[in-house]
Order: sequence, then C-alpha cells, then structure tokens
Amino acid sequence: MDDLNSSAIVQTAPRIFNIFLTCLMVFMAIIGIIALLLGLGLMVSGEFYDWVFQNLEVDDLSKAAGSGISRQTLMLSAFTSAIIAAAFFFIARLLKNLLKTLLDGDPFVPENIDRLRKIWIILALTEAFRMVARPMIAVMDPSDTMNFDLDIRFTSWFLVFVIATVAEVFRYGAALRQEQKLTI
Amino acid sequence: MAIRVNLDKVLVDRRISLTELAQRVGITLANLSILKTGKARAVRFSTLSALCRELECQPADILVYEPEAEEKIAAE
Repeated sequence: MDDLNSSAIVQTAPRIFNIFLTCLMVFMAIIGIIALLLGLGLMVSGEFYDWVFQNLEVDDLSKAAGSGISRQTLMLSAFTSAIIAAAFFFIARLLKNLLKTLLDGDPFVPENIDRLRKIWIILALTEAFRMVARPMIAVMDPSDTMNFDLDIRFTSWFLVFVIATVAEVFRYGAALRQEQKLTI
Repeated sequence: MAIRVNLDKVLVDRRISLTELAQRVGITLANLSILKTGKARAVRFSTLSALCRELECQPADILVYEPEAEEKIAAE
C-alpha cells in the first residue's frame, strides 16, 4: 500500500511541477515582452516616458518618478528585466523538457545532462549579469537616484552550486544507466 | 574490447537462428543482437548460463579473450 502511495506521489509531483512550470513560462514571457516593449518605447520616444508616469498607477514607478529617475535609467532597467525574464523562461523550458523525460519513465538520458548543465550555467550568467548591470545602470544614471552597490546574493550562488553538483551526480547516474542498458 | 563474442559461430554449428535462441533463453532479440555484435559491456551469469544450457556448450565457446595491440605490447 505504501509502495502504491509512493508511486502515485512520484507520478503526481512531476505533473504538478509541469503545470507550475507552464504557468511560470507564460508569466515570464508576459513580463519579458512588457519589459522589452517598455524599454523600446522609452528608447524611441520621450513622450512615452511622460505617458508611463501619467497613465500607469504602479507604486514603484510613481516613487521612481517622484525621485526623478531618468529616462535612460528606466530604459536600461527595462532591458535588464527583459533579459532576466528571457533567461528564466529558457530555464523553465529546460526544466519542462527534463520533467517530460521523467514522466515518460526514464530521466537518465544523455540529453538531461546537457539540460542540467545549461540550467546552472544560465543561472550563473543571469546572476552575474544582474550583479554587473545594477551598478552599471547606477553609474550611467545622470540623476544619481540609484545607489552604486555590488549586490551579491549568496542564496542564488548557493543554488547555482547545488544544481551544478546535481548535474554531475546525474551525469554519473546516466553513465550507470547506459551501462545497465548494455548489460545482457 | 579484448573479449570477443563467438555467438555467431556457435549458432551456425548448432544450426539455431538468433530469433529461436532469443525465444529459448527468454531475452529480447535486440539484446541478443547487442551481445552478438560485441556491443555489450557486460553479461550476467544468468544469461550466460541460459545460453550455455540452450546451446549445450561452455562459456569459453561463446566468449574468447583476444589481447588488443596495446596489451600485447605491454606484455612484451
């Protein structure tokens, strides 16, 4: 009975994660497109900058407007957000493909080694990009409304390390699986 | 690999097809083909035992050790 329950959990959990990842992908796509359009709008037109603060009732933006954040800073922030959203969208897609192999019954396929490696590399690059982009925007900001500080998030780097370790363990697991397949 | 599988020769001698042997031993034709073509990394004792039983032979009739060029040089 316990075995039946645990196998049901094994099947149910990936399905729930799959639904969650689909929602995350849609959310990240929307965020990314909005941020990209916002950045492009600010780049093309100065009137759009005024329109953003007049028509959008977003607290953070209003506060930023009150503090006199420049058009350039806002534009660069929007592009940075779009890049980060794209990275998370891609990670969610990789995780979805990884879960698909789990639902199909055999996750220890060579493709998943590459997927896990890509996930930790993208996570590391995204975090490094965020760390660099934030002070750079602050330096380029003519209104001096942003603080120049190097924000190192240890939780994110620890997560990168954990996923990199899991990827290496997975590589060994996949090698054992291949060995088992060729044992007659 | 230094171990060569001589299954095809034994099959010809016994006049048994690969499909028939797969059925008798109880393993898939695909797995038996992997073994026959030398792509297998390992053979279970149970498989080897079943093969010897059905082919009425010894393990040495199926598996032959042939040192590779590097191993020969090292031995000399």
